[in-house]
Amino acid sequence: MEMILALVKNRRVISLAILAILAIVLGVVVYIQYFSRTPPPEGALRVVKCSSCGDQGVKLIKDINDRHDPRCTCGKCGKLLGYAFKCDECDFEFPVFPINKAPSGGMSKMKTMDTFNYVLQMRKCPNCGSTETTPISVESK
Amino acid sequence: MKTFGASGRRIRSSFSLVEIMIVFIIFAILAAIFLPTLYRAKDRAKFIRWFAFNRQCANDPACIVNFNFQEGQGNTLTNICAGADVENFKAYEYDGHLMKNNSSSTTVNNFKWLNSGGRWSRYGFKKALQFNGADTYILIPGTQGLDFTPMDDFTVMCWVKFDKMELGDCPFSKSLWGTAKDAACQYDIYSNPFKGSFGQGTFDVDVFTTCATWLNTDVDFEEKGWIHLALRYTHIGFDDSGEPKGQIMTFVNGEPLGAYISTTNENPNTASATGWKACSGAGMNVPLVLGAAGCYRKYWSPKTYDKTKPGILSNELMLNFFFKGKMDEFLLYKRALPDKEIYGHYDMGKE
Repeated sequence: MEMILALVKNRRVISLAILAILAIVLGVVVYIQYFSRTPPPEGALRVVKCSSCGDQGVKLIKDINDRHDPRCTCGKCGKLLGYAFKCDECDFEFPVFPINKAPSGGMSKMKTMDTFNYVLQMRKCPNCGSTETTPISVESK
Repeated sequence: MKTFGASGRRIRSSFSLVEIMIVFIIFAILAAIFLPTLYRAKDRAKFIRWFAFNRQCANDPACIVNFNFQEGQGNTLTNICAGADVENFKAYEYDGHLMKNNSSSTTVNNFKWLNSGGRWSRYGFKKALQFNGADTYILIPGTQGLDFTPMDDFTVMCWVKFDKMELGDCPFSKSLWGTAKDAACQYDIYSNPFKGSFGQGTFDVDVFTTCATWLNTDVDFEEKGWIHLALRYTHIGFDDSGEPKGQIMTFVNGEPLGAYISTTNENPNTASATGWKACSGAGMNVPLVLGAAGCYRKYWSPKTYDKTKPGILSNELMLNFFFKGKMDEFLLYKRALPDKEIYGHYDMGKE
């Protein structure tokens, strides 16, 4: 008991104890204010299809990339995922990858019609060649 | 330093390191508690300043469409313009209708209203609409006040945040793309993220018969967050053959994009829209669409096109090249806003 009283009377010990308590309080406050609430993921969802095994899923648009990042690849086989499209002519479902390169001749002097046609060619059905293809809706999954 | 008082008792005239640290930590705790509140208050002040400014813009007689995305819910975006200088103007005719692909009349449930997804998200009351890049767009059925000729001036502005910026993604359009001879375009803007020797790297625009791209920038728009886009057309006179001439300018975050290059005009130094003869093939009664590019069904989806059936909305217009991202403000003026006024809109709306 005397030892405790001696400690309590020791100014330095009291100061250190207060410092420790305040440091803990600071840690708790900082955690609650800045780290406890992770913001919900931003962006729209799209149906994706694996280029290899054909597995379909739903991902955030910003995670649909040509990167070999675990967030961007198929959970089953690890291959790249593309937007899932369906052919209006033959009902074939296939992946369409984000367009990450300009046409071989470059974009120079491409008019809007050429640009849109180029985009459309990237989305044509690999089964029947039709350009009448539409993205598969998230609600259908 | 130690001194002695009158009673001979030792008095400390300085603080120990531990005591100073205690004071610092107390200040840090107070800062950690109050700083987020201060930031929220700052965002709230900015939001209220923008909201007041936006309401003021709605009273400009040249402002025909003003969607602040605060007024509107369900499947409708309310046009808050008080009384535009357009014959028989009724603001509700220019309301935005949230639509689903292929211009069907059915409204959709795959649009996403984000109640705190707009700018100043820390404050948490700015609404935004999330476009899914697949089948969502906004249709504005009123066309009378939105039809312009090359002899008119106009400015279109919006705040957008790209989830992903891919070639052709179109934040707004008033066009019906078919073939060179059978298309109708008044104005649109779409992303062209590929950098090349011929400019690009930002946005391409179409105004009447002119397609234009821009020599500039290395800005990573996906990382940049909310961006303010403005497209301005100014009628500047007539050429020797009597055709109207105009100047097109695109602004990003209040600053004009670099040098203009026309992809339909061989002379890159002339920023002129030379008439709209080529646009007249499909008729000009094309509605304004946000979040997609209007395409002529006859060419893009002949299977669903019924040549016996009349009507832009019911038959001819289909949508493509959907925008992937969020939008939380859209304004259309029937006058060419000066550079400073466009910058003012950006300044009032920036986070």
